[in-house]
Amino acid sequence: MIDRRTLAVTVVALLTVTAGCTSIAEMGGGGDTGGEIGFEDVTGEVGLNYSDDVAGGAGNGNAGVYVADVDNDGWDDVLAVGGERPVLFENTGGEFSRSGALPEYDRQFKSATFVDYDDDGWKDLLLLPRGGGVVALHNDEGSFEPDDMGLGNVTHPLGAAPADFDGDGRVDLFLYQSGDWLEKTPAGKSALNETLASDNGYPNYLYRNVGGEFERVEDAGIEGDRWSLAATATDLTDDGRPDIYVANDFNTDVLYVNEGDGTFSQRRLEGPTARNGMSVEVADLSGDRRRDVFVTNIELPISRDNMSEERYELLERMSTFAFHSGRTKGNTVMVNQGNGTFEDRAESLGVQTGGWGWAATATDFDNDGDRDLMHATQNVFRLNPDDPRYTFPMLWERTDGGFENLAADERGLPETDGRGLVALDFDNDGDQDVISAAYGDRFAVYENTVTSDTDRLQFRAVDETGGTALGATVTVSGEDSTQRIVQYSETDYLSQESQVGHVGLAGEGNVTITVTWPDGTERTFDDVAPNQRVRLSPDGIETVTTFPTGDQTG
Amino acid sequence: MSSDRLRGISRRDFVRSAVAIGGTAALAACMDRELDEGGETDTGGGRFPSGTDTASLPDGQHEWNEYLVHGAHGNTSLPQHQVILGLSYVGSVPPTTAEREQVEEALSTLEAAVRWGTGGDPSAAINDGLLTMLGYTSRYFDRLGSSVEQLASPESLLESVGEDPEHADEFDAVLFLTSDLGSLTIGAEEALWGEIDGLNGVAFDATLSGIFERTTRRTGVVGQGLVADEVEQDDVPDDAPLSMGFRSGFKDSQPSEAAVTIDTGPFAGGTTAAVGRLHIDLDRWYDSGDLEDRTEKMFCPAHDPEEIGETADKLGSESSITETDVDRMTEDADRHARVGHSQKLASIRDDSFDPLILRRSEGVATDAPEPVDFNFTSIQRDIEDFVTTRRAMEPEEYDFDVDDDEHGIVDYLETKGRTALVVPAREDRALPTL
Repeated sequence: MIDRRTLAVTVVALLTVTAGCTSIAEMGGGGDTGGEIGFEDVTGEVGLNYSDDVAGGAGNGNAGVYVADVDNDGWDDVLAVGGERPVLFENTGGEFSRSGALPEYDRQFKSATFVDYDDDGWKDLLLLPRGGGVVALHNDEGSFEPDDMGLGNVTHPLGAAPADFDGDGRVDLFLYQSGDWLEKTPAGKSALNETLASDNGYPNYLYRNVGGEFERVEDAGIEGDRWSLAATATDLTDDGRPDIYVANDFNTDVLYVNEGDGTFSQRRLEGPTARNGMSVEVADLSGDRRRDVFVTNIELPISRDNMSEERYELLERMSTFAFHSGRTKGNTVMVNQGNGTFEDRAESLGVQTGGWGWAATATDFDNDGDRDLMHATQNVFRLNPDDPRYTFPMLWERTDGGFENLAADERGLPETDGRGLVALDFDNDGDQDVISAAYGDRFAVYENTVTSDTDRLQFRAVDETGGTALGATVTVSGEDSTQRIVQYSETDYLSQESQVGHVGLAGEGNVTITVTWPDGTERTFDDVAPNQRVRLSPDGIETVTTFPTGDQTG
Repeated sequence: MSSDRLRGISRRDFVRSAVAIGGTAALAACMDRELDEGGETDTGGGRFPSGTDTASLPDGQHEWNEYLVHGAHGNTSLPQHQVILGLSYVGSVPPTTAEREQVEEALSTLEAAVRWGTGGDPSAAINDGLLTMLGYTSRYFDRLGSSVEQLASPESLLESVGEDPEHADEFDAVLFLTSDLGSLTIGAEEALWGEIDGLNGVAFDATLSGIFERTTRRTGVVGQGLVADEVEQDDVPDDAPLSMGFRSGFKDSQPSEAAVTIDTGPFAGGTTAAVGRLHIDLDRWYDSGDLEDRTEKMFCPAHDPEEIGETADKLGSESSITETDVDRMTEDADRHARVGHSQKLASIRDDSFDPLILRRSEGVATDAPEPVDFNFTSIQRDIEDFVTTRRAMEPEEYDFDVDDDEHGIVDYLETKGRTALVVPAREDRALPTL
């Protein structure tokens, strides 16, 4: 059993909730105070040369991208997975070179996760194979060496979400698996209009970090052999304890609520989540200060009304399940009601129809103080050659009432058969760039070309070892707005995003930053200047880098 | 050909009927209906995906796998529409250099006009390009006074598998055209015989006219939904991709393309093809038992429809037929008085337990005057591999006694036409001589 959480942490959690309820609106107002969202493909220029190798693969491939600053030099490095072997790309100041820090594995892996499992401030790495033992690699000050962490064998892992589930100060692990299309068909594919309590995928596992190795926990309430495609571990019930949100293929999403006594209660969310859940991205998308969950799905506007009967039948036959099953409901924005229940508001927020979505990111691309949205899109077929937007990544800008879909091709994003996707500031210029992992194709780096001189701030709250303090809450307050970020491991479908927090400040000028660490420690840093990345620790604030401003930006 | 026959039929039947009829009128009608304003593929000036130069295509005409749609399980899916043209060679004996150049130019122009299959897109959902394969029978080589080691005459082929040599197809060559777009198969045929000026914005300066005459035209469809629509048998499941009700073409029931490629001799890099027109007694098949019975006869008595699904839709990339199933065949015959088709065919797999023939067409015939016929095409390194496989279906090959209608599926099949081809490598495909 996982240890009971301490009373002190619960008190802190309650205080956090209270603070959240009394603060002014989190969103920056949705006004157009930022620059024009746009990107430029700089893949060749920056040296991230990697291609996915589907090898006639079944299912959805392994094209994934995982971000961590593995050498603690202030530049996010990138692990690419899906090719003949994983490759770690060292970020050498805004350019990438193949790193020798990773032992050479001459085989494919299914997915990966960066996690500082020994809490030494250096991100360790787990490489997850399709069948076989998990490869644990200890990060020895920037160089990886094989380690035995007791994770055992896995079958079809799509990823692992780290968090300190039992509040003992050591990071635990939720490893999620799908079924294997090579072996079988999801049970839910034969029951397209219902959800299944008993599915035929592979089990998810909870591992407890007992210091030195992980132990698989059998009686924590993690049950159900589903086809899990994405999961993340973060507090969604405002009690300070990390819960687990799992998006499942051909079934319902599941929320595992952390009960604080080492167990989880399983909530099958049903309703709008009874579909193909293909990502998990956590952010306040509704503007109510609670953290919502964006999950991609399939929805293509195929109708007898916009094409001939023959064309319609042709498309329908090609992917029957994709069009007219009860599961193709489009993306969902699971708006958090604060008690572990959710209501889907994707349609009213304008992000429901996104083609065939995969990994997603919600970040402030134009630094205007609110989060925009992007997701990778499976390139299926052009429904309309005059407006082929569903073969492009989906991009939305936050507006006053919701989100406005932007034409990706007009924003520098090409047609891509996307799967994994991350946002990061790879060139440390203060804006959010994107790396896309394409199915059977080259990975791409899209530099954010936002031209505004709008202020922004990046941060990372760290623990005493310098590692990212998962579960820490960072509140950035200016004169007109407050933004609250809970640090978590940022895992998604075959992706793990940067641990560096990013907020646009929309002209706020200097801000106040308050950090609440998981152990209840709280510190406030006043009069923090924008346009820098800061490292926040209980001992103080430290500038990591400063960003160009004005016409230097871009 | 007239498009009059297209009038008055349901919209659902339109495209496959147009393909069956063929001709320029059917082509125009089919293109209008199939490539409408909302669904047209971006074709760079034409109405179909643009092609490429022959040099970028696989060496073997038969190397389709990379250019087929792959399902979630990783299995390949054959395009929905197929046109199989039985050809008579009417050129010079031996062929002249000019005739060879004419054939090659016609085929190369077709490849330049429209994309080769999916173009290699690993996640393509629609095969809106075209795949082709031109092969030659022993009759063609007989006329040139030569013979091919890997090839048998259609009569001897039929005799060797216990079938009536009267059903030998009298073709000199066979041309396969297949695509998910019915209009593309019609258009390719029309362009190759000069009945339209060009295809997809590309002019055909050379055609096959004067070299090959079309003597037989077979058309067919394959795929979920189409089969149930086509055959007049209500018991065919709506989702069945084939008329007998089950998925086929699993990874473990198909050898690699390399394994069926001729590796030595004048046709190295090519393959052989067995081409047949078969009749299925679907009424008797569906009356012969329930789903469990049919599942056992198609696969083996250990296969449970609850586990594999009504159309084998619950299986992954493999058929679940194992060497254990093969070893258990006599026991199954004794205990169940039944053995399965897949089980029997697995008994003649090679030392690596890989099958010998690669199925390239099991399409329900749309040109047949009566239901239900289907086009069967397989490719293999040597036509003897087909003979071995076909003989493995026959009850007399086994020592145990099981009624013919419980002995796999062979009792429900009747051969109506058959021949064998050598399919040269792409660079040798134009009127080969030895």
